[in-house]
Amino acid sequence: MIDGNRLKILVESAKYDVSCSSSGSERKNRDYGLGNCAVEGICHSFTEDGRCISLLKILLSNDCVYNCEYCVNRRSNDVPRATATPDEICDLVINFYKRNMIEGLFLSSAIHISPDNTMEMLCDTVVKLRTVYHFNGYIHLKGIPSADSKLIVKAGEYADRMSFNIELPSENSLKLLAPQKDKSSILTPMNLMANEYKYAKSIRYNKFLPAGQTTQMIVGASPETDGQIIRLSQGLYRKYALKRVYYSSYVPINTKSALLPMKPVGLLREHRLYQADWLLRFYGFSAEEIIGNDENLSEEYDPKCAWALRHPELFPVDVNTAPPEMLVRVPGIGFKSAYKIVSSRKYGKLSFDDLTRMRVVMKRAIHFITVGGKFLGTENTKLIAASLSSKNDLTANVQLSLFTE
Amino acid sequence: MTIFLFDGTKEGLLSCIFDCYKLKKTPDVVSATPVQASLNDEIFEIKTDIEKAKRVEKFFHGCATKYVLHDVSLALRSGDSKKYTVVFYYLKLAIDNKNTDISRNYADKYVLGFADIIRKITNEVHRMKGMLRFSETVSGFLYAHYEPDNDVTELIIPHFFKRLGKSYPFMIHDTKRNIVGLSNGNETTVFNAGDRRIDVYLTREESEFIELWRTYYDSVNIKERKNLKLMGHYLPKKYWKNLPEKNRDL
Repeated sequence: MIDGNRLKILVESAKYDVSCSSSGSERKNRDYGLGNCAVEGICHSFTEDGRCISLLKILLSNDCVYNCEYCVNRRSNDVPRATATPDEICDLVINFYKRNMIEGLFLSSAIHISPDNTMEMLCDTVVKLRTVYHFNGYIHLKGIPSADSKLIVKAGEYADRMSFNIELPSENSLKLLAPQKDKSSILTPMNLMANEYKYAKSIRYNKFLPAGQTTQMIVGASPETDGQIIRLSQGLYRKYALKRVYYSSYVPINTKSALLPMKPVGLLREHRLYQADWLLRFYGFSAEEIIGNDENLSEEYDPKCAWALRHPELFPVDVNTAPPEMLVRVPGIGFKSAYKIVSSRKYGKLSFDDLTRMRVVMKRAIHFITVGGKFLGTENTKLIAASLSSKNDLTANVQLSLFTE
Repeated sequence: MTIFLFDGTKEGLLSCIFDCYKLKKTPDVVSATPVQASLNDEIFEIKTDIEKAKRVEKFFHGCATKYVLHDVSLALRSGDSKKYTVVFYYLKLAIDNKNTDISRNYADKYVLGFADIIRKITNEVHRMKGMLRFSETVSGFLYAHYEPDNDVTELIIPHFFKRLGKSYPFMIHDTKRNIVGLSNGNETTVFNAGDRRIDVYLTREESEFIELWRTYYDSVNIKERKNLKLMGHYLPKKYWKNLPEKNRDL
């Protein structure tokens, strides 16, 4: 069994990976095995930073040969180093899992010796967990850029989800801050896995990465605008069919580097990026609608409000007749309330009171809707903008459901 | 005000429905516990009558609103004391609108109220799938205790049965209601233990795993991003008592 000291070292080096979701896989338990996957994902606890604990997030080793500027495990950093054996990891997973503390394993590693060697160790651990320990819970495996493609594809047969971190939003920043990595070493395996995934789907083979691929990038360590970042995400979703792109706002954890900003990026920027990401994935927006290429997302308004303010010609819409895809574009109406509106308006005309009871945020929605021809909002754009502004309750808006799926 | 008092069972509630039409009295409050009445209140004590309940039940088979009886059984698991009145009105609305499915008419106060009750229960079921902690006992089975708002033990048992399978028999104990759910690896049962005391003895290694789990919980936190409000939102204080990472005395 792994000791508390090494656990602490290996977890503290792994925690900056934000991905934590355990959804998307329907893996079943078998005869005398342990565990299954819940397709909706399950959170088991929440830490003081408000993030969920769903998976045991741990590194196999934090002893890295690379020297990426932003990373806590870079070679030139003076931090305690530790390495765990595959058996130690498996044992810990089984013991935490049967006590219902975790939903599965999130395994990553620093580049120990070489990319191939590291990928082989990761792959061995996952294969062992599945075949020797008969574990059928969720496994999220980090892919190592530049590792042998055979190893990567093999890992995909055993893991539920894999992710190759894109790390930084542009090739230039990557060159500057992570000199040992390059664009093609990340995108090539991502593309390989996307093709394998598509092929597996096409022949209805459901054992290859049932929960797909994700990626992560650090925001604020390099000069890219939000517009560029959102376009990059849209491209990744379209080209590689990623399930999620995670954004991690830059926190200075290393000794001073001339290449990096001194101050951390506020959590608000990260929050706005996630809001825009949600609009991309669920609300039918395109990156071009959300934001211009050289712009940053507004701090004052969430991206949906900002869009609505730019398009007064589309509003107001009538809640009793508007199509669902337009309803979800109204500030203050989300998916749940849009569903309630659409299903209840079949029974009769809705009133303003009905909307309030359905938990439509009337403070925002009122300026964009009519109910039975009646409009109770104001035409004065300045007043509307003021009522949508989050300046009054910034602290309340800083982070909502960013880390759950 | 008209008040119906009954025994809190599903059959009792269906008897209330029957008597409501028979007596031509619509209650303002339906309750299973005695209520503080004022002088001009009219109180009816409704006796549970299986025959009446069956007749009402039969009616629902021809009713346009689907799954009424299933949903009502679910809603009665709620820990909310006002549930009976809401459920009663939901049933009455389904009967009065025999030919339309009212279940999605969220503009109606009671349909929305009923949906809220159901949502709170299914939310807690989902939460408990994550926020239940097992410990290993000396007898070899896993034991978990918890205090849910709603009576959800029977609803979470299938999830853990599938997950822990044949190799890991377990016991889930709702200490608030003294309800016990058991799995022996092959089948599950749920029963009310009444006044019986349940004692389990944990293995010696158990405390080591709890310590490791606490170490993990503390290490995975990013101090620079402290956000206690958000944590409290997802992990309400009422559940902390039974979680070893939050309750360090456990």
